[in-house]
Amino acid sequence: MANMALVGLCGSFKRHMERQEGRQLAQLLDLVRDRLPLREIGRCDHLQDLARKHGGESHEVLSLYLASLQAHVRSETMRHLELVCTCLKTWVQRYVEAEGSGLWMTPWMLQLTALARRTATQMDQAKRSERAERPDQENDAYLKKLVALYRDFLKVLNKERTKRAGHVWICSELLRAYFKLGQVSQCSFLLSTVTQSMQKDGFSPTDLPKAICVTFYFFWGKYLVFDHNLQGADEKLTWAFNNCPEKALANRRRILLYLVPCKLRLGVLPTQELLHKYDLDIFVDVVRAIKEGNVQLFNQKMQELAADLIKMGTYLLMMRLKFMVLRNLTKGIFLDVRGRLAAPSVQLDFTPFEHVFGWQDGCDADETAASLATLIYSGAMKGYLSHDRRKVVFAKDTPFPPPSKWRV
Amino acid sequence: MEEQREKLRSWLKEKLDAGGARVRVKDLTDEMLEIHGVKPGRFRQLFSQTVQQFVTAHIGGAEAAAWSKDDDFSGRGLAQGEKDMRAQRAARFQKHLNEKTPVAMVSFDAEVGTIDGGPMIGELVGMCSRDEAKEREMTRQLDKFEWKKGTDPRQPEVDLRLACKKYQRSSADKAYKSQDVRSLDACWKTMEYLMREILDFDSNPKPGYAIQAIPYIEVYSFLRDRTRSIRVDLHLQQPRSTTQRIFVETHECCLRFEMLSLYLLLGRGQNKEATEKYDTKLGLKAISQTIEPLLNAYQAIHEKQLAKSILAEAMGGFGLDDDDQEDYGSPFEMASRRYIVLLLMSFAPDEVSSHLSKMHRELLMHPLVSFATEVYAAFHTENYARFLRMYREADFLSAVAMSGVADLARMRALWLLVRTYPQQVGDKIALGKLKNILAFASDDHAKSFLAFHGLQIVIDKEWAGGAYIVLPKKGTPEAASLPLLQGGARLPEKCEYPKGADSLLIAKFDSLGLTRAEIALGNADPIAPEVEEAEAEAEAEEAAEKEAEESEPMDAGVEPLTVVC
Repeated sequence: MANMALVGLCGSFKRHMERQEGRQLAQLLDLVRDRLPLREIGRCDHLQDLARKHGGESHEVLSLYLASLQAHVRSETMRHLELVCTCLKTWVQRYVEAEGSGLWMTPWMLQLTALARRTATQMDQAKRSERAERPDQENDAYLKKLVALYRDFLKVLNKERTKRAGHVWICSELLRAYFKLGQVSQCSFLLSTVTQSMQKDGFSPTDLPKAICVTFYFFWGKYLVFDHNLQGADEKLTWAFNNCPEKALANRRRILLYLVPCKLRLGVLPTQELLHKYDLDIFVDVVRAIKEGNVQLFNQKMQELAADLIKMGTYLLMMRLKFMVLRNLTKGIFLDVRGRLAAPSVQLDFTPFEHVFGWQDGCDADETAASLATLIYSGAMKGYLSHDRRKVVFAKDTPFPPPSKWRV
Repeated sequence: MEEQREKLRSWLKEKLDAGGARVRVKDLTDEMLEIHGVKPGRFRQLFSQTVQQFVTAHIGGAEAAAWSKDDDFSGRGLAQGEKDMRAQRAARFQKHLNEKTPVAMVSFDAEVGTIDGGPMIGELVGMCSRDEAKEREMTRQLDKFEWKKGTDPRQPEVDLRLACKKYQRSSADKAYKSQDVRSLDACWKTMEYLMREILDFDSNPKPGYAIQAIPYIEVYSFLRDRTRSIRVDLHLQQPRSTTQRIFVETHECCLRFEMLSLYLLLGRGQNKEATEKYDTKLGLKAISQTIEPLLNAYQAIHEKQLAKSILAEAMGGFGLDDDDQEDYGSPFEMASRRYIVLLLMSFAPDEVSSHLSKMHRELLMHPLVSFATEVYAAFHTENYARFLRMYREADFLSAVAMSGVADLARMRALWLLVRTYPQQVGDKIALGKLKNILAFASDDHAKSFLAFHGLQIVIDKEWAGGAYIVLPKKGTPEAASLPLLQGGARLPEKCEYPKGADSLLIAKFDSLGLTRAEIALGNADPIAPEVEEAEAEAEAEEAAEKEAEESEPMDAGVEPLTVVC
């Protein structure tokens, strides 16, 4: 009876393989869905025979996967990971050898990589708790091993012009790993490989299945944030957000965590509804500070959020917004002081700026002048500073250009 | 030619069918030359491939051609040799297409974090073993600080009390013996000796040494070597030593020593009389070799403490060894982490963000560390005024760590001011103002920096700082020759002002009032504001209690103390 479930599983596998039903295959073998006969798999001592007899031509892949599930059931985590990786390696090889684009094979490839990644992370976390006794042990050793494996895949996939989906997916996995390992500088080499093949072969990642392309564009955009390429990051992350399914709230939120700072820097403020919908309340006060020119509030929020922003990699990007806040503060002072003058002038004394900057940002008089100089240089303000006469002279025409005109 | 080719082909086929993969190409080539008089070059002419290629193709199934021999894609007649080559290449790919290559099993076990052997325990209780001291005496590898007083410099004798174990590069066949490795206590004893007796030798020579007058660069050279040797002895005793106080304190001390040396050899100006020059790269290398094990030690201690607290909670506090004094939580950890972030910002900026992203949230939120992240943010968001303000306000060692980019920040802040004055009419700016913005502690330093960048300084006591700087009018020769006005609209990438004495660092060092040893041992480390407040409160409470005691009337029942002479 127990074997019937396994025979059924093998038979379904064979059927989906023959019909090239990639999505159904992935659903059939999904460990997370909890539909696999794990108890039977754990007890069976002739999985390989079953797979060979009922699994069809690709029985060796099925055999490896069933063996990995057996190791998982028996809590043999290392063996589970080794078998998952071997199964993945075999599947990638079959994918390379398949005729045409082999697109139907990608859903299960995505699932296998996710499973390998989760298991490696779990094992690395377990190793971390042992480090107190063995400080010589390498951090994230299993993830690094996975990276080495994916690099091998990439060497093969780079040459396969028809297998772009798998190529881009493995690139995405590598980008994800590099971020986790803090090896962000490695991303540039990887991305230049993809860009080169895009230029050479004329293919666009946007032609690939959304699951692959959105993920890839998200990591690409994230890297561009780290690289301070604002325009590029905005483009990639906006595409990823617009093409990420509406129901995938967690993923859309992940994208917004990087997209919102980019948009803020480009002068596009998110609505309160958007921030609340995606549980992005961390940005609410920051947006308010920008709107009001409230430097004190901005500094306070940045102090509170610094740790989280650093972990996300958006700390510097958010800190750059300070000049946006200063600019709005300066504009507020300009309008207020000018409004009180009997004859409105664009030449205003340093004193009110020194006073307000000192109150809001703890600047002394000299630092205020330096801050105003930076605002002028960045294009947030048009004018000049006359130190001898202690005057700020604003341009008559558009003294405060919009953020889209600023130096990025 | 055709006949020769066919004859040779049959002969080769026979040979290869008989021998298979065991056939050696060299033997085959020699035999072919002997029997058929065909050299490798001639073979290549006949078959359009080398002997090796022919053999490989044959063993791989060369006889089954993927393409028909009649195919001729190029539209020209092919020579037989070329056809053979094509057929064999096709056969290689045929094999590749038909057979499923078995996939090797992925294995993780052997490569992931294993270590051979058990931990070593150092047995040497002195600063150097007698054997090593005597050997170095014989081979004239003693340092001047180890010479016996009055010894002949041509054949110096060792003073065993002063000898310190020298750094020796590790090699694959080097075996470390526990009797040659200093115990943890001996390591710390050596470290203390080096910091207290040697570190300020150039300005405070001690009697009892063979040398007296020596420049700091030579002191540094000796200390760099000997502190490296101490770290090696500590590392050999890992993992046992990692979570112990001496390991952590030694590395913290080494870090401070290297930073102090950065100041003494660069920040206060090079000693022009010294024969040796300070190589910043070597100093930074020593710093990076110190930082890594120090951060690992902090991590290991935290994880051990966390594991213990979880266990304690699970066991209700019973069964724990409360007397376990071995695991040490350093009170200087946050200050050290601050220095590390600032050093990375100055000298390895690409590593800062990944370093910060690996830190725990609690560490990033600590005031001492958050100062460093704010400094990093100020510099990298072009907020140079804020950076220089923090440079002005920082403690001595933090300022040393920031000094790597201080001149660049100054230059950029100056450039921004110079690019935003009214060029049509010109302008003037007080020296005192610029001195404050650019974080100089002396007028001379400020004037030197400004003059180097082409600015004209006019002495006038009416102005703050006793002078003003001329920002020239557009179209004048001064404006045309001012470098800060030349070039594009982008911030300058480099500051060419010569590396030398930084008045701000000198002022901070002088105001500390501490000896170099005290700085190296942590007395100059910044304290977190809440700790300072708590200490201040504790002091105030103590003072209040003391006052209350003194003002209390003596209890009639208590006899006054009598002093017995």
